[in-house]
Amino acid sequence: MQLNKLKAIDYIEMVQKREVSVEQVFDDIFQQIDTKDKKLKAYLSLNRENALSEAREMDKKIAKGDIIPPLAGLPVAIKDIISTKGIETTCASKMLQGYIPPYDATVIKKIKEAGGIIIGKTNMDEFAMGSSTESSAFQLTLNPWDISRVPGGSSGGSAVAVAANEALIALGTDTGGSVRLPAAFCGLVGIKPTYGRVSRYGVIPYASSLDQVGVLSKCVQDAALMLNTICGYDSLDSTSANLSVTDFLSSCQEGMEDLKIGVPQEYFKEGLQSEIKNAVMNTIQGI
Amino acid sequence: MTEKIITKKDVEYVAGLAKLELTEEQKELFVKQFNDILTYFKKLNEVDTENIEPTSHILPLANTFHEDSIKPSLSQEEVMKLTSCTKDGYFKVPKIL
Repeated sequence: MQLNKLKAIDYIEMVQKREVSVEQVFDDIFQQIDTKDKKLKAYLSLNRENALSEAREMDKKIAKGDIIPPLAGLPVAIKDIISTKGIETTCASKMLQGYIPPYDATVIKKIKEAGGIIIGKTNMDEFAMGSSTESSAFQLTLNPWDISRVPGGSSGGSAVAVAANEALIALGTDTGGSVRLPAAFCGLVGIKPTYGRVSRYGVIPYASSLDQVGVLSKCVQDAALMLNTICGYDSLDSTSANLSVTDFLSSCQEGMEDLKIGVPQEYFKEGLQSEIKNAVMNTIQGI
Repeated sequence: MTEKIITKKDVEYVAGLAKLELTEEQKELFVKQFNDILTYFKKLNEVDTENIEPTSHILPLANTFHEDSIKPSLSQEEVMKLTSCTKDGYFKVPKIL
């Protein structure tokens, strides 16, 4: 059925209608990974046994009639800079090879509480210090649209996982573009939330006053759904903003007539390819 | 015009901190490159910031403290498991004195 090609919101709807099982989507996800990832190398490590067993558990609960949690077993790829309890977390560096965090980052806790399931950890520029994922100490991740090109970085592995249907959605981190840039390079939606929106507890830092966990997804509604899950004040993060979180998913329904979007002129200077400029300008006209 | 801010001694000192061994050619290269970079940084001074408030943080947060109270945490066992370099409940590290 190729359930790995679904958008997150469509997958969740199908689970709620009992049209698919969680285990089925994970079978398709891992089949895609087994086929494509030897070449693309988006993943540094996989959480295969746990993911399949959590998927089966969730299917059992759904069959019993338990309330289906908001993410309904959603398969999520996690950039290897985010601490995952019991799963090796390396920041794509040999310095952290073999490091198995004894705790989950807050964003991971939130995803698990909402019923999300972790597929594996994705490749990145070493310690997030790069824009192409080429500086990973372990492997080169290829852009699925053109394997002679980089996927961007530093969240390149997460971008490729989603773009190549090896995940339905992914988390990355963004300090100076590391979610947005690979999203653009791989044709995805990428969002860096406003600083303070998402807890950095358990996220290995690069520039602590700039880092935020961000989302890479197939569509805006998927990103909104994930933001609803991961945003919010966390007392464990002293830079976390104690502000209420909008329902981003319902915000998607609101029109854009009252919005003003600022576009810095400096974005359109020397060095910008004309195809990119045209694509951006056409989108702006469209909006 | 590249200014001479960094000397060969500075490069050697930084290399020592980073535990990197450099050849004489590399040292000369890095003296030049470090100075080029720092001179380029000075370009920032060309911007007039006369009437601009310094921004150190985008959120109005300061001194976010919490009560010094004991809460559940990681057990000693969970933490000691993270490495094999342990002895009698302590972490073993290279001598630094």
